[in-house]
Amino acid sequence: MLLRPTNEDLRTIAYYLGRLTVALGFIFIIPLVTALIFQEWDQAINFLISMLISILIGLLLQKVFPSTHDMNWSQGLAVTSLAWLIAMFLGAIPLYLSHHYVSYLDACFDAMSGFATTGLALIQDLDHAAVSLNMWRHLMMFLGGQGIVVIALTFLVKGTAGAYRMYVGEAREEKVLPNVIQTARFIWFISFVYLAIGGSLLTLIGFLEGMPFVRSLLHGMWIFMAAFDTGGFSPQSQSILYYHSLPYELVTIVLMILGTINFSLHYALWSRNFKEVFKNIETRTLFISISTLFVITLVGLTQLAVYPNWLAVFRKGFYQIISAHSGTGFMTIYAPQFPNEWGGLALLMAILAMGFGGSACSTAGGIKALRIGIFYKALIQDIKRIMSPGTALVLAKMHHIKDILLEDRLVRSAFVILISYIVTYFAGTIIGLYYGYPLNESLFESVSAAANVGLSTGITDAAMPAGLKVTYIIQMWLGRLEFISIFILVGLFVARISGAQGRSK
Amino acid sequence: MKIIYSLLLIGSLLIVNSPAHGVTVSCNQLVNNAPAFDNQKVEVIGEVIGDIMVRGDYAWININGGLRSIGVWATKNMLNDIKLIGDYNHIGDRVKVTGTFHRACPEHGGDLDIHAETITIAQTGYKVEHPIDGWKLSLAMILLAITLGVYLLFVLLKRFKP
Repeated sequence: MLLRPTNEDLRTIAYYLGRLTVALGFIFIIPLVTALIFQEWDQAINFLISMLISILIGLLLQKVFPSTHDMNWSQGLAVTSLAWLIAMFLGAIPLYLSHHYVSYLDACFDAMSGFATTGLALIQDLDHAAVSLNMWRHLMMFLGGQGIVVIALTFLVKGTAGAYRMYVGEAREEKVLPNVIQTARFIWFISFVYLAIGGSLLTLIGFLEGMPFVRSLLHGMWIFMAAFDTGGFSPQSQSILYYHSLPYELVTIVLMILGTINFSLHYALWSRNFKEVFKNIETRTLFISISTLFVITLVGLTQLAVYPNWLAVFRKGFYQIISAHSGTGFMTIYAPQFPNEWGGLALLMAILAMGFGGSACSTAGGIKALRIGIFYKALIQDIKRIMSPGTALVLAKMHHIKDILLEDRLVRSAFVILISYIVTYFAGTIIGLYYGYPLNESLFESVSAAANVGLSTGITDAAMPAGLKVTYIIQMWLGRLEFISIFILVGLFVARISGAQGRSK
Repeated sequence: MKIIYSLLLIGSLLIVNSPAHGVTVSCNQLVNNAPAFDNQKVEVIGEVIGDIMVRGDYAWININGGLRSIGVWATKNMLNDIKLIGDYNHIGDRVKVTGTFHRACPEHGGDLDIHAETITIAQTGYKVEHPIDGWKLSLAMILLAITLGVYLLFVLLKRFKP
């Protein structure tokens, strides 16, 4: 039986949403300052308006709905799922005001795509976009990849139980460190270390490959944000193909792989526990999955003689598979080349790579290697159980930071999310088919949106139907938060209407 | 069916274009029908955007044909006449590129590109002004006043709360 949320429950949700909204408002300072530095006065006004609207809404929410209560589970998860919607609506304001979008819906699409680190884009005339606008687009990816709640945990909310509940709602059930605030700060720390290294490398390569220093610096920083946070936005319309540079592609491959690794594994590496890489079920699953999918892609591409030599197969085939598997969405080919040239086998491998996704507790999307590993272990355990004598106790173990006994509870929770992803992939495909798109392209685009990847066959375009835009927005939102917090939000809504009196836990 | 359409498209374009200068196509047509144009001599008009990326005696430019941009590989000397490159503050020079189109260039890691034989300026670029919309400025001032007012009101209410 569902318990009806009380007014106090709703007040607590509104209060914490207010705090997050104010935090988001202050983040607009970064693109605002960028606009001032590059003398983009019209864009500066756009960011000022967005900042003031966010702070005003945040202040009003906090003061009109004051609360001193810590959040319970359902409140924490509801705050997280609503925070992402609010971030989309507010983050879309400067996009829409920039005149690069056909409608506010298109701007919302790109804002959700940015925050959810998807990378599908409806922006028009990207090659003439302002520096500050690109700064905001890539910053959304960086913030979304780290987690909007992680930002709040770092700066605003004390390390309470409620803080942990918000953190879990953002699809981050693992605490890297014992305290959730320490975990949030570690995530920032590791990201800034990689930003310094990866951003500098990309800047240097860009400069050596013929770009002016300031542009190579900006592009280096933005491409880092989009690669490490497995986002996929780029400052030019040709994505990574714009640079025509093998070294640039190699560095982004490394960054995409780093971005798709679990933050717990980053911590293990940081603590010089290098053996963990070889023992961890996630890294093993990822390695097997990437290798298998690439080999089959290779067969598909060579069978059709799509590329003229091995280097081309690596720069196009391997790059796209890594981009798909890590959930980044960088492209070194054009969108129509997927359906027109890749053939069914290679295209299917790209779809599977997107659907599987990266690691849990990383910036990647998709089902996640950990769940696929658990699913595989459980399958083997069941086969062994059937083949063993009835009295035999068949146990299965896996290693993820520590040795873990494979319990039914663990398998069940992994299975629920796995099934939710598959249902979402197919739901989006059916809607794509309803709007008249071919099956392979509908499936590709749907998986790309729900797994927060960003690769496209060309369906994602300002001219696509509004219903499909809304579908992909919902898929990106569901995929990034991994369903549960959004299910809880829907549950709260239903309970408010039809639930029994009482206080929710 | 796609191949037949592509052949028809190329055939019709060949009729209206002089073979000596290649087929005049848009960047979008090249990307969408890449196999049909592979290794063909083409003529494309587009705006130079982003950067001129010099690599030894050669350089990469990217030209924007409206819906899509394509990379063009050219000798450095061919690019001497390009003065303005398209970005936020500029509409870049529009250039007419004649060269060989590659669906997957063997020399450049499978890139879809054009190896230029000639590049001429079709239209010179210009600076773009971005005036501030008056209504946005007014809205920003009003929002600033309201936000400060609300903040001060809440501070005062908190201070004088019994």
